[in-house]
Amino acid sequence: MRANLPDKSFFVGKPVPGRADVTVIEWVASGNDGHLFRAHSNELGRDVACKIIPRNNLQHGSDGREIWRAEILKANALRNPIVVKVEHICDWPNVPMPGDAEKFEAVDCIALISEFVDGQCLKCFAADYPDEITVSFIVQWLATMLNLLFEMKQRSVNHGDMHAGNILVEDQSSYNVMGPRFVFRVTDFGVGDTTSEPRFKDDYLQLADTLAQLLRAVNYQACSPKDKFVFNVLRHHFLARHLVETDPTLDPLAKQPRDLISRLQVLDAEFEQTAAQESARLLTPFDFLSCEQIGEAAILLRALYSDRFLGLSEIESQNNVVVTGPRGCGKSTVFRSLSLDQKMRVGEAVPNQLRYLGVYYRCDDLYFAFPRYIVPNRDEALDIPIHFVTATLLARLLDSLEGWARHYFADEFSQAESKAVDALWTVLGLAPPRAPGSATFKAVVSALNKERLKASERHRFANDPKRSVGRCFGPEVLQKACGILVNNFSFCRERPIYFFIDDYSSPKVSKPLQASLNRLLMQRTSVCFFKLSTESPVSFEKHDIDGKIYVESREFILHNLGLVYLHAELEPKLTFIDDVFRRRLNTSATSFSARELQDLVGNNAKQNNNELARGIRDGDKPLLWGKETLCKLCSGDIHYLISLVGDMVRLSGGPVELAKAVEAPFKVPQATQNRAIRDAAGSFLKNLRGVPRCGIQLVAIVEAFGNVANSHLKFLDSKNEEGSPPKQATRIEPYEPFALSEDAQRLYDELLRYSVFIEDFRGKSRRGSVVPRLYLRRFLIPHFNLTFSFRDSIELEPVDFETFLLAPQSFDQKLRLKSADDAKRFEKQQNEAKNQLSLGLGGSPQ
Amino acid sequence: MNLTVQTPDEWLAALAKPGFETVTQYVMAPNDWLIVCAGFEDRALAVLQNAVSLRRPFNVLLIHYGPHFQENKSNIIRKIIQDAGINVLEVTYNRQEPAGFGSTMLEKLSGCQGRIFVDVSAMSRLLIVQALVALGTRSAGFANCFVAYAEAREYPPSQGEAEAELTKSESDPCLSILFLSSGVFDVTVVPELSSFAPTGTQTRLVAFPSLDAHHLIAIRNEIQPSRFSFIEGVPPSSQNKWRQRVISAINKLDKIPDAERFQTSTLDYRETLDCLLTLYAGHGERERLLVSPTGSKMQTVAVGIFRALIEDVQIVFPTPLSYLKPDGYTRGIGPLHLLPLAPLAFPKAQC
Repeated sequence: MRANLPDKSFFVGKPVPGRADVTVIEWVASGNDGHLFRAHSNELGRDVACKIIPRNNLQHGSDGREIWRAEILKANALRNPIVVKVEHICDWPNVPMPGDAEKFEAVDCIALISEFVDGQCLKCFAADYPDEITVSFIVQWLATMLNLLFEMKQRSVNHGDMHAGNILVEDQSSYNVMGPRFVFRVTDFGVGDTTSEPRFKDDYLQLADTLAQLLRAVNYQACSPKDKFVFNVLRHHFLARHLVETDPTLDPLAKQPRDLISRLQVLDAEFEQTAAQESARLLTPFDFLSCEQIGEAAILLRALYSDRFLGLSEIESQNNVVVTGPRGCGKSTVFRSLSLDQKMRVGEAVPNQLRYLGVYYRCDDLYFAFPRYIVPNRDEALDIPIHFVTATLLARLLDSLEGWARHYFADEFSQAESKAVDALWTVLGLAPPRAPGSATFKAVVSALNKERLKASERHRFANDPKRSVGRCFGPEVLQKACGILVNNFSFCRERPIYFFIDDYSSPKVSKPLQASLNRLLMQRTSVCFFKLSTESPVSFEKHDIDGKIYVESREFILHNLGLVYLHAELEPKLTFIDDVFRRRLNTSATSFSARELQDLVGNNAKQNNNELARGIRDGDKPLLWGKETLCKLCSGDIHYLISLVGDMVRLSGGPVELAKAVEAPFKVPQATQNRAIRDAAGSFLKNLRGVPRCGIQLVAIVEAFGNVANSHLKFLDSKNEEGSPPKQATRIEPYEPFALSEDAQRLYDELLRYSVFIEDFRGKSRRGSVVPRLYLRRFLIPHFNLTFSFRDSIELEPVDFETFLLAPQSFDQKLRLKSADDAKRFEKQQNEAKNQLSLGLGGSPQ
Repeated sequence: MNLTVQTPDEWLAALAKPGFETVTQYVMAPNDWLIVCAGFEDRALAVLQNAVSLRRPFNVLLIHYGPHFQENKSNIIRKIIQDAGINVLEVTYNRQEPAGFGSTMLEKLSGCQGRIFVDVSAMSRLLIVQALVALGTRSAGFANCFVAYAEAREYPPSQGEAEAELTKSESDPCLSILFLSSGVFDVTVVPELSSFAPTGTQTRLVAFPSLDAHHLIAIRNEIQPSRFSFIEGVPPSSQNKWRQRVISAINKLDKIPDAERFQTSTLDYRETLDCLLTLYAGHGERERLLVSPTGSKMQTVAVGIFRALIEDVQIVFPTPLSYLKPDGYTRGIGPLHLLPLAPLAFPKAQC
């Protein structure tokens, strides 16, 4: 309540009584208890603040003692630099009060001369710069206030009026180039309004009130997970307990500034710990088939991650690498496991064991921000996706790097942080926030997160000429920012930065979007490398919007895990698969009587494909069992094997029933293994049918192939082989390179995308042409009653290949053999076609 | 001294939400607008027919669907409007290119001085969410907005048909059950229903399992979420309770590990809204929530209200490729309802 205040205009232009060198220049603000003016001291040669308060508004004891004076002098004893100290207290008696001119009334005032702070009060600052009120700003502010309260507690000082109007945001940039540009200051110690309620005189309650105001200014829904976590701790712990509770038995941190500062300082670590302690546990060895399901459970991820993963060394090489492979082949597990965040969480980020700094990013984020992206009409909008991705990757890098550096290189980080941040603001072309803490990684991360939102908003109106796109980060910004980190921190110098970009796959990340982002992600530099994982070779765009074509082995290395597994020897595959199951069996919370894969499914190394094929020809369905069979079923899709063994265990009655098979060399009966293997393929086809737009066609295509291959096995023999074993084809081999129609190409791409077939584009046809070979996904082989032999192919002319894709039923009718006579006719046609070619008659045989 | 800090979801959770009123007559005024969709169900006509029966003038925003189905009731609705002498604006909603339709709708309604009634009876589920988000996030918010809804009299398939299909599928792992729609055109994501907040690596699919199991399959295939929360619909009529069990079996919910499962009324939107708010409170801090509004119309209304206030939630929608029996999707017209949305407008000062 404003009371006893004289007319402010009375003071302007007048010298302060008792300080003849000080003249009041202009009114700045009025509070409940007095007026604040800017004044100038001729003696000091600078401006000073002059606060004028009617004596009646100041605190007095019942005996008339001037309690306020003691409070002001006590505050002057504080050494914390944020305190605005009163330099001089003067009496200004007989100041006229506004009102009836004939009935003269006057009050006695005092004038408090103090340093003039160039800046705004926090209340005005929050109103004028709402965007600057971020979670990191609030933490910085609260820590500063608690630090002051710590000293106040030591010296038994109470402010008595610590509201947002008495907290200042000072701009020091006009005189301080070394330190921070903006700092918090606290003014008006001991001059609290005598009319205030006692609860407002409690500094902690005032702090809580300001904290609540600031938190209300934060857009919670736009916050990162970490900021949301901190926001909720501030709200539920600091606001609801620590700052308002008075009984330390109810809250040990109640009004304990030192402890509260400690709590604030560990919030980042708390966030990481709560993430790492996520309750995800492996209840059975067959849980968590995909990496994403593991969630933030870092320990579990570490326990399940096998460093026997085939192709790991290529991924870790200092190259840009595009990793492709069927879903569930472990791409995400490897990428996440190699990130700095994950290594920090599992205690494997010791500097001497860390060759690079990995940042993990999953492209779901891109998919939702740029759904069905097409290149915008306006040139200035082209860089919007790069702006978004640069902001995202750099924010993640800075966040990870800060956590790691504060742990292992705290001194160097503290010393170099502000210099690096200054350079980062310059490279980013962003104005630093006009707030304390602007020279910190956290401030840059907050700003970058806002840039993400801006980019997303701009994208919605990319083609609207009425809306300005604004400046966007170019492809060079991320690289330059990484360069700044390398130049400013010695611990970054020997360690390149790896960006692990997971699921960079069309159509989710559309080809035009990839073409735009490739300008960033295909850059070759010495400071950062990009590792892209994509579902299939056709889900990655190999050029950019400038028309530049990215050539494999020059701009990037293509690492096709599907092919790696197809062509790998049995031994390394078995070693990896054994390791995967060993980890799962030993980590599982359920007591399992098996510790190794072979304890469950046994060894079956002696299976002979030719014998199996002869059996199939005789009408048998081969009994499929054993860990070698599992290995042969794997096209890299390790999650499928885990799920399959899980099915076998379920079909066997679960771990309790399995434990009863004490005498058996392995737990799951052969017939049960066989059934599970065959059922799993059926489920895959059912799910494939649910694929948007073309699921039904994909199923028809693969069924046509399976039917044809099975009929060839039954009625044709393999060429040039001793004993003339049955023809065992599980792949398609075109005779010639082919150009598909648009519709056929779309289906072809979808077949590869869902890894129904795995493409080996380095194949060589019987006619000597370089052609792609298509291998049937291994675990579909039993469904069509084929064998795991790699020897034979279904060879197709380009025209048949087109038919295969567009009219699989016709393909089936044409190439499926129904009898031995059929087979003879087929072979005759093949031979005639071959002869025509060798005679140079040309043309494709029909 | 007010030390309370509420996020929008907490505000909404604490709010006493208005219930649906069953009405016998929609009473429109000359400045009011009714948004009607020319779908193929019988109930597409119900609200409009009821409103014009009072012979008072009002305005209609008629939404046609593209691609067009022969069974769509565009012509009948036009005739009703023409006969009643009502002002009409027409616009086409392309189900396969739906991005930005909320803005289009608001442009059409820019001259509206009265109330806005959104008839969701024959409205595409994605469009319900788009419409409610567009209304809820404009400067006036939900002020003067209402949801109008006509139940159907029958919801095929019958229990016998459903059980028979289910039995067939259990004996053949390759068989897909198709009741209402066939295939999925695309998993649709539109920018205006996207969340741009930086999130962790986890995604949680909040899905409403339906008789069309391929919807869930398509979303799981395309989005590959890491966590699942299923909100299963509980029909108000005891005669339809079997649907919940059959839907669960068709979608094989029991076999999806660690999935959270909830049950909410297919009619009382408040149960679904509260459920969504509980999910957000429990998981929204660390996970990206993907909500797929494939439940009942009223469950979808809850999703629309929820998304209008909670922006860091992503909507994903499996757009059906085609409908198997447009004339048998639902049958007849049941009770009529009205929901006032104004009480659900978040006071801006709380932001």
